[in-house]
Amino acid sequence: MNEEVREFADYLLEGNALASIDFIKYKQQMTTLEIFDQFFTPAMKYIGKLWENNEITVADEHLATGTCDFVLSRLFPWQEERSSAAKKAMFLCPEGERHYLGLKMVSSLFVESGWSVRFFGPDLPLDSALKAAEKWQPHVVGLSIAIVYHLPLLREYVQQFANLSARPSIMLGGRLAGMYDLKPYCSESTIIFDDLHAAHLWLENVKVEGESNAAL
Amino acid sequence: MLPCNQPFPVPYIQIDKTGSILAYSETAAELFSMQEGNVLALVDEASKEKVRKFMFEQDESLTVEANLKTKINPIQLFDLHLSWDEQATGHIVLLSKEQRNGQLEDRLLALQERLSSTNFELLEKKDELEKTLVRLRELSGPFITLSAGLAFIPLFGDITKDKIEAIMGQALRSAYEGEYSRIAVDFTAVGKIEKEGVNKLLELFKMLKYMNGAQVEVVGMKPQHSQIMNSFQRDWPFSFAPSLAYILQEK
Repeated sequence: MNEEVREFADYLLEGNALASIDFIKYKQQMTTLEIFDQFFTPAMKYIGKLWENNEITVADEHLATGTCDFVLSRLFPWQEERSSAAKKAMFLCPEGERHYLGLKMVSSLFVESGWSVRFFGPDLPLDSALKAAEKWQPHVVGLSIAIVYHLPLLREYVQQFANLSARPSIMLGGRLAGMYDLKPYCSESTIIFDDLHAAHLWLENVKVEGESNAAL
Repeated sequence: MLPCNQPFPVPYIQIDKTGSILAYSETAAELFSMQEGNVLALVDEASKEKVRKFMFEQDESLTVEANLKTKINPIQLFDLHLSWDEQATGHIVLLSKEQRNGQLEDRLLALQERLSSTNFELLEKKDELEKTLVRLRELSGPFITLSAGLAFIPLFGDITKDKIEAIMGQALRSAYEGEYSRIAVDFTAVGKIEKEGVNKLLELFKMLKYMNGAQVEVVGMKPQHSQIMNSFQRDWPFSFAPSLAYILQEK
C-alpha cells in the first residue's frame, strides 16, 4: 500500500476537501488517467478494505464518497456541451445503484477526449434514462454497476437501450465488471470495461479511427 | 433451532462456532428468514468474508457492521453485537442502521443531484438565453417596405455592436431584393448609443448606399442622441429628417 494513497484516503475520510484538492493539484505533471488510476481508485478501494477490516463504518465511507465527488467535480470537468459535430455520450447508474465515482471518472475521460458528455449519475430510473436518450440521441450510453442484486435490472437497461432507434453503443463498467463475467447480462455488442485503462484505450482507438477516416 | 422463550425487544440470535442458529427471538424471526439455519445465510455476499473473519475467528465480544438480507430488503445495513459465553455459544443482537444511514445517504444524494442538475439547468438556461438574445437583437431592427421606393427601419433599444451585427444581414438582404431609393432609419425608440454600435451602423449605412445608391435618412433623433453622435465627430453618410411623417409628406 502506497503511503501517498493512504494520505489521500485519510483526507477523504476526514471530509477534508481542501487538503484533498491541494494533494491532487500537486500531481499536475501526471495525466488525468494516471491521477485517477494511481490515487482516486486505489484510495476508494483502500477505504472499502478498511470497512471490511471493521475499522470504519458505512457512514465514514459515505463521507469519503461525498468528499471524493467534490474533489473530482472541482478539478476534472465531467460533463460538457460541445458543437453538434462532437460525438455524444451519456452516463448513468441503474435505479438503486449508488456507486457512481468510477462512472464519473470515465465521464471525465470522455470530456477530455473532446466528446459532448451528459452525466446523470446514480440511481436513474429506466424510463427517465430512455427519455433522455431518445431526446439527445447519444452515440454512447455508459452504465455502471457495483451491487450484485442490481444485475437483473442491468439486463433490462441494456436491452431497452439497444432497442433505441439511434442504436447507441452500450458500455458497461463498475466494480462488478472487474470481478465477474457480465456478458450474460449484456447484449452481444455491449462493450465491457474492466477498469479505467480499458475505457481510455477505447477512446484512443476511436480517436485514431476518426483521424484516419478523416484523412481518407 | 428454537425460538427463545423470552420476549426480547430487539432481534436476537444464538449461534454455535460454525454459525448454526441455536435459538432466535420472535423479533428476529419477524425480520429474517430462518429456514437455512445458519447465520451466514442472512449475510449479503459482499459482507460474508467480513462476518466470517470477525465473528468466528476470535473469541472476544465485538461489533461488526454488515449488510444483511431481510424478508423485505435484499440488502440492509446492521450492527451485529456479539459475545461468546463459556459453552462457546454466541449471542448476537442485530440492530438496523438503515434508518439513520438511509437519511445520511439520501441527503448526500440530494446534494449530488443538486450539484449536477443545477449545472444542467444553468447550461440549458444559458443556451436559451443566448438564443433569445440573438432573436431579440434581430427583432430590434425590422426592415419594413413602405412603398416600392421607400423602406423603413425602426431601431429599438440600445445601439450596440452586437445588435447592429444581428440586424445587418436581414437589412442588406431586403435592400438587395427591393429597389429602394430612400431608406428611413427611425431613432424614436432608441435608448443608449455606444460608440462601437454607431461605427457598425455607419458601416451598414455605407453598404446600403453602395448597394443600390439608396439615400439613408435618419428620423426621430432625440437631442441626447445628436449630442452623442456629434461627439463622435464623423462624416455622416446620411441626411436627417424630423420624422417619418415628414418624409412621407415630402414624397
